[in-house]
Amino acid sequence: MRFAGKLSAALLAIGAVTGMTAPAAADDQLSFLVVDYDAPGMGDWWQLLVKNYESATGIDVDPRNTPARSYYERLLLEAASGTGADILTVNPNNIGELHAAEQLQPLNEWIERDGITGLLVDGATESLTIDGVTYALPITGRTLQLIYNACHFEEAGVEAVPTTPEEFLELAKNLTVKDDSGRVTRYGANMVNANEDPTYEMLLMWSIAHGGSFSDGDGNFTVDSQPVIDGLNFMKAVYDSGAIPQGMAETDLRALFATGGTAMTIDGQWQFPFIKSNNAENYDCYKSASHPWDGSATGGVNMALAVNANSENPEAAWEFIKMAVGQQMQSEFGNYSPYVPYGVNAMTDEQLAERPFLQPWLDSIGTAHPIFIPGHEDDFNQTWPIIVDAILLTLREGVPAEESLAQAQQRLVECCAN
Amino acid sequence: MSWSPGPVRGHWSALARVILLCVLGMAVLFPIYWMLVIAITPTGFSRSLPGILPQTVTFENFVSLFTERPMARWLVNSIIVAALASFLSLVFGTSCGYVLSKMKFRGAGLVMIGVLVTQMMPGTSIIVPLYILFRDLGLLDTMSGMVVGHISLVVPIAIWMSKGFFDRIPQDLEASARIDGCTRLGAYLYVSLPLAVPGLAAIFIYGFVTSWHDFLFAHSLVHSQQLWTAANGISSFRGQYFTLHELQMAAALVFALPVIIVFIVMQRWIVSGAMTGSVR
Amino acid sequence: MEPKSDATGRADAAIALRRRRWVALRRSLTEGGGFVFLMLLPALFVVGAVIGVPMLRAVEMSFNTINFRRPAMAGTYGFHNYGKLFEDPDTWSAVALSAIYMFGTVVGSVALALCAALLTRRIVRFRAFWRVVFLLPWTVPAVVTALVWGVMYDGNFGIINRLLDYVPFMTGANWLIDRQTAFPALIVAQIWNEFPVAYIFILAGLHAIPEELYEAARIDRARAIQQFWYITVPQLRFILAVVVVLLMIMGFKSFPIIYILTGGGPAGATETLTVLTFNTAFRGLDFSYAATLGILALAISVILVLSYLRLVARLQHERGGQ
Repeated sequence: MRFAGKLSAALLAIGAVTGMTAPAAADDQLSFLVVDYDAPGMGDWWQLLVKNYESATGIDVDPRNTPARSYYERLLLEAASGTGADILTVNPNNIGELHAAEQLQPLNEWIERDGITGLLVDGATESLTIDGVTYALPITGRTLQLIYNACHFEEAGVEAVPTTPEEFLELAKNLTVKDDSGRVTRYGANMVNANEDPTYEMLLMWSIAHGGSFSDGDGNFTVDSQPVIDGLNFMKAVYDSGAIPQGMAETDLRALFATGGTAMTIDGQWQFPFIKSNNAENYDCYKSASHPWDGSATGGVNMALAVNANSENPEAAWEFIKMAVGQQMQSEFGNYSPYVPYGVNAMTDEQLAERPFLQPWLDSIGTAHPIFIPGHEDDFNQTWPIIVDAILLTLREGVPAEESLAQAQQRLVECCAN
Repeated sequence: MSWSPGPVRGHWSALARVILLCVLGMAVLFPIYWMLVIAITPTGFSRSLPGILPQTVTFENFVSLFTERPMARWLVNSIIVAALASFLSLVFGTSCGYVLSKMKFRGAGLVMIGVLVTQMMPGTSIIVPLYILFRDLGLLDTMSGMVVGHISLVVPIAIWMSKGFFDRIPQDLEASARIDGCTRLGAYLYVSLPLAVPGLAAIFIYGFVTSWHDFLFAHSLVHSQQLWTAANGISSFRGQYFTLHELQMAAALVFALPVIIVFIVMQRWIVSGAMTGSVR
Repeated sequence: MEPKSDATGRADAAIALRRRRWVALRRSLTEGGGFVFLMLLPALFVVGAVIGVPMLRAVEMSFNTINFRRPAMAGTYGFHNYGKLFEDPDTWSAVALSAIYMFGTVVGSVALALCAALLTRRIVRFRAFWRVVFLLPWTVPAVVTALVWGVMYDGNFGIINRLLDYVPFMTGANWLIDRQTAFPALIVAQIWNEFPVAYIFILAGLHAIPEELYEAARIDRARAIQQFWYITVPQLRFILAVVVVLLMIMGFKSFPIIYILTGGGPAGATETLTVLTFNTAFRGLDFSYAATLGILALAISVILVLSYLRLVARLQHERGGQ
């Protein structure tokens, strides 16, 4: 009987647990899907924003903190089950999809009413605008720029940073160090070539360097065009040169660079805080310079805020976003975050003096080429795997660039032509 | 002259056994060793280790787990959830397995197959309905939600396993107990259950580890960091820009400790003769 | 004897009736159908509510059109997703890969676990130590397993290639990006992570075999291999069958190791059904088709598991018939 007693207690417990229902959302509450709310730097800025907003309006903000890696799955999961947060973190690569899925509220009326445009740098909302309607406001920006280890440069007797793809490749070979058995102990450069979306951005970058891109002005795919073929052939030359690690994930390549395993890389400004906290004694070796080609960098808006189309309190959600792009919060940005803000003159001279390495990024975020294919902003998650397949086919299996890109072009037209 | 081959052959085969065991053990342990090497390497430096020995040894990773990250909290959460879930699964599962093994009733086969089928659907395709269900029940972002979820992962295997163990207990043992005036429940509690102890220990360990590792429920249905289990915390070291291999491996080694303790405690019960000893 | 008054008689009768009812209730709860019901209820309730209900919802979703690329189509029911299953060649290559992956991990894990369990079963010295050794890989979460094997497999600095330098006639490879080696490399990592599950159940099964059986065999001077074949295997058969079923399910559903190590690459060479399902939902945004793929996975595992169980039953029958 003792056992039966325990059993019924357990059953009761489950019954009680399953019987409870969720509390209804209150009017004075806003939920906010936020990435890495507790990360040092950027997370501190988000927390400040929430605190300021709460004290200004008396509305409680419920931050739904999510790790960056699983953030988009979380957003989709919540959207698919009809429980999306009032304020969403979005980016240019997924805003098209979310708009097509009818998840986002148009912001134009509010932007006009509250005179937001003048607060942000020119072109800031371009990649967040679809058919003339803006769906989000940018908070952080990133592009890919050259970062190099000046101590390794000195060691190899190199003085000038590369300014063209050819110089980049030549230098990468010179900077590669091998031990007696012929095994590489330090690579000359990093170039992502794993089965993940950063590999896509590598080809985009080298295609721009060769004077082209993945689509023309009308949004037709041009993946089989000569500049892209040249770009892929260049990647192949880098891959085969033995100057870069093969098959390593992007995150591992970064750690390798930050700890002296690679001499240069083309990457974002997040490298610097990581180096500072994990390789402090060599921090002074690391310098940044503009990307090694003529033409725009890749990237642009990294995190933007949007209002959920199904929000019960859209006005309050907008007020939150408005506060985020407002002068006060923007002037605080440089004190916290390693990213680049979009507010006009948001970085003061003192803040910049603190982080001089940021200059190439500040110069490029307004003019950067977006990562998605212009005209196909709602297909990013369909298009990048196709292009990465083509890249890996050429790099790893030696299929000629023309052939693998022609295949990719056809698959792109089949899946996503307008 | 005749010599007995027995002892000599026994000697050699024992030696071969030991050698084989050591080789197998080393192969199985090597990745763990490598985790340890990574864990004692300063953050960021593990990707270019030149040899089989660690370069610079540091214990900072272990320290910062507890000072800079809520590792202790994650461990406590994991222990609560795993202990509750595995205990309840054992209770629910064995009672089910017992009935399926010892009593004839219609639909028994269907129950066996039915519970197994629930385990065959890939998590990614039921995650949306699961999320909706947990939201409607108010179980989102709660510990009890995780416990209930984990029970559902462990119970089917507990049923199958315990049925296997009960099947091997001779029917006449129970019959004699029943003649002595025991009820079915009594026969279950006082005769069959004690005889199945090695199996129950194995099931408990299985349940504990399954819950300990679960990612589907912990990852999708819980988002407050205070409620994270250690499995959740460990995967969070795989960040957007950097994967903190060194911290993660340190965390994984700490994470393994409670399971090892549970196993050391429980493995005593998986002893030879636990069953034959009571069958007199 | 003085007759009782009517009133007390009725009261007694009522008490007796209540008592009888109580006894009957207790009896049914501890003996008969009620007992079966009570014993089954908690387990089936939890499993049915937590997995069963979402599964039924997933079935409903598979007929619906929940696709974020076509939000207006929501609520359109039909068999279109099932039609798509048969048109899409990716689906069937994914099914084949999942089946190979499952087969490889089951065979590898059971073989390894059986070896380890037989070797550690009668060990006296350091018993707990050896048992923990073979349990250790299981204490490592799949995410970490993926990452540590990724570091070891790495073609640039990986330790496996370095160790192979000392082995004659073996050359290193870039294990995870080479089409020939990627899939076996994943299977090895998966076996390492999951064979302890089989180990622990087989060990428990071995220890439940009455020692008298072996004593009798030794008296008959049976060789070790004969003991294994005529005592160990038959005594273990149910546990082995269950272990295999469990590993089949685990292998077929396996996701994190594949997803983290290769993401389905190189060029789809490791895109199993679970990876395809994930990509369909979270990259293709077609939740209905993902649910349909899940049901396909379910159907295939049910068929595989049931035919395996039938095979086991038939073998057992033949053995018994000898």
